[in-house]
Amino acid sequence: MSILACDALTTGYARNKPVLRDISLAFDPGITVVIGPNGAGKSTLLRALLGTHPVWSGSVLLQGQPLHSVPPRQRALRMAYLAQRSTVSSNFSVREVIALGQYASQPSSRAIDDALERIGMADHAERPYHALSVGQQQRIALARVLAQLAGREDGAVLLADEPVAAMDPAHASRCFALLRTLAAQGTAVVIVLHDLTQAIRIADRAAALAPDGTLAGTGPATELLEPEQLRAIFGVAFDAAILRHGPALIPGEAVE
Amino acid sequence: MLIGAVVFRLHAGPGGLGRATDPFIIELRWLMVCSAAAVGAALAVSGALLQAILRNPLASPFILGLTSGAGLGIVLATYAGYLATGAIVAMQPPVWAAVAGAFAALGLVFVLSQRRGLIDPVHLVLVGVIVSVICGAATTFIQFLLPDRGMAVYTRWVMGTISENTPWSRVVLVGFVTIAGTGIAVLLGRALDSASLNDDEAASVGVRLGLLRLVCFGLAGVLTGLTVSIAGPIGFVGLICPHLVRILAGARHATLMLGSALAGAALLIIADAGVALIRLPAGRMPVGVLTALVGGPLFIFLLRRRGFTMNAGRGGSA
Repeated sequence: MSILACDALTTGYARNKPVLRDISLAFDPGITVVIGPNGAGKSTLLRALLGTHPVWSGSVLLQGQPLHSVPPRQRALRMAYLAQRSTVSSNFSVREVIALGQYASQPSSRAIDDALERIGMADHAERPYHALSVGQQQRIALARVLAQLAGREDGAVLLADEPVAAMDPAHASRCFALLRTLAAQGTAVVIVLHDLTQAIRIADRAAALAPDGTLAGTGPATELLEPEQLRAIFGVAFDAAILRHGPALIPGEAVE
Repeated sequence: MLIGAVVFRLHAGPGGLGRATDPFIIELRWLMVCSAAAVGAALAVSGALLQAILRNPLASPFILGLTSGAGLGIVLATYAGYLATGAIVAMQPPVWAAVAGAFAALGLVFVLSQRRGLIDPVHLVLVGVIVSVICGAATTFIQFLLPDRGMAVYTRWVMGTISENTPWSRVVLVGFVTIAGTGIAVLLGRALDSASLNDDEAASVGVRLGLLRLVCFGLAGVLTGLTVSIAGPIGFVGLICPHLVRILAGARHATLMLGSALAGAALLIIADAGVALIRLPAGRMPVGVLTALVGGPLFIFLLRRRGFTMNAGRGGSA
């Protein structure tokens, strides 16, 4: 049984215009990247898997249990979410923002300190969150989900929508290393990514959405993330190369 | 501050500051103190709840039209009473009319400010102001249908005043509900903290946003309706107090709710003492006029100093 699965999932925003059509996927411990062109429904898929976007038909199962039947607090103990752009409307300190992730559990200063240490921002704990740069705020959001899942990594799910979009390369690399650690601890990490070189370097598996919201393909990352498949999905020719630090996928010109 | 405000109000009278010796005057001043404390606390907690759940620093019972809606409810009830009995019974309108008016206005603002199921913060304030203006116009219209052109109801239910004619029973009712409402708001503090995240992230940490919104709107509607039922629409207390408390005590909502209740009570008691001391030829000035005259410029000052965000507490800049 997979940690998280969706079966024949169809959903959208305007009636009769589904964004996602008949998507069936299963997520196990490890990193799965979700790729696809703009508007294919990647973020919508994450929100449907999270339970915050209504499912028109099909089902989402968390450890075999229908997601809608899992109480929100129980769900939060097993599943965390990183938004593309995390926002905090109140003026909390960095420590207070990370503590928001512990709403469903017993607040633990140790887990917060540990999360701050892991993202390399231990000396920023008492700074106002809104005084940080967007990239730093994205790292704090990662610390928040680390604190949320602390001690429950095995069998947990992390859904992340472009989690390093605002980070510099050094911090992006550190962030991916943390996500790899989570995956090694037994968490199913599902990441929406546009950077296909990053995707092939960190992912165990990949799922590709087609422009019409159907599933274009799924499988081991090394098999799905190869030039011919990507050309069919994105309509762009890709060059594949093995560089000093790993594989790279370089987009070329658009093709018919 | 609250104790100082109470002492100040107990010594404030039309002849200036002085200790009252007449037991009747002393009881009257205590009635005004308790009434102002309950109204101020209820409005401030209501404002703090609305600002938190709507993630909007401009949200307040006054700006979102709740107070005008409650005022309209009272004037409508007064007019209905006039149609039924031929007499204007304006002193003690039913509480339910004010609460119903507040809920009707809030529901209207909530529905009209949604776009694709999401509440746009700027749209919300604009719709609130428009609903407030419409309710105000409807109130004035109904006043003109009354035989005395509404003079019996105007000062209290349109301008907002802490009245010495309010019976203790109603002050106790509003006080009790305000204390209970503040207690519930404090208990909601942790959920409201996490609701500071965006909708998806708040839900992902376990917050039941739909239920939380329902409880917060319900509390805000009841508290505002009750205050209007004894004091009429009083502006700016619900807007200013949460911002002052954020500056002094930070943004955590449990502290914010309790602090807002105490600050709202103190502020309105001081304002009521102020109008008791100001002698005008036409009589006592409604306290709602003073809170608007002082609160408006104070809010503009806060806006210019701290930016147009909920981040007033620690000088945030983003």
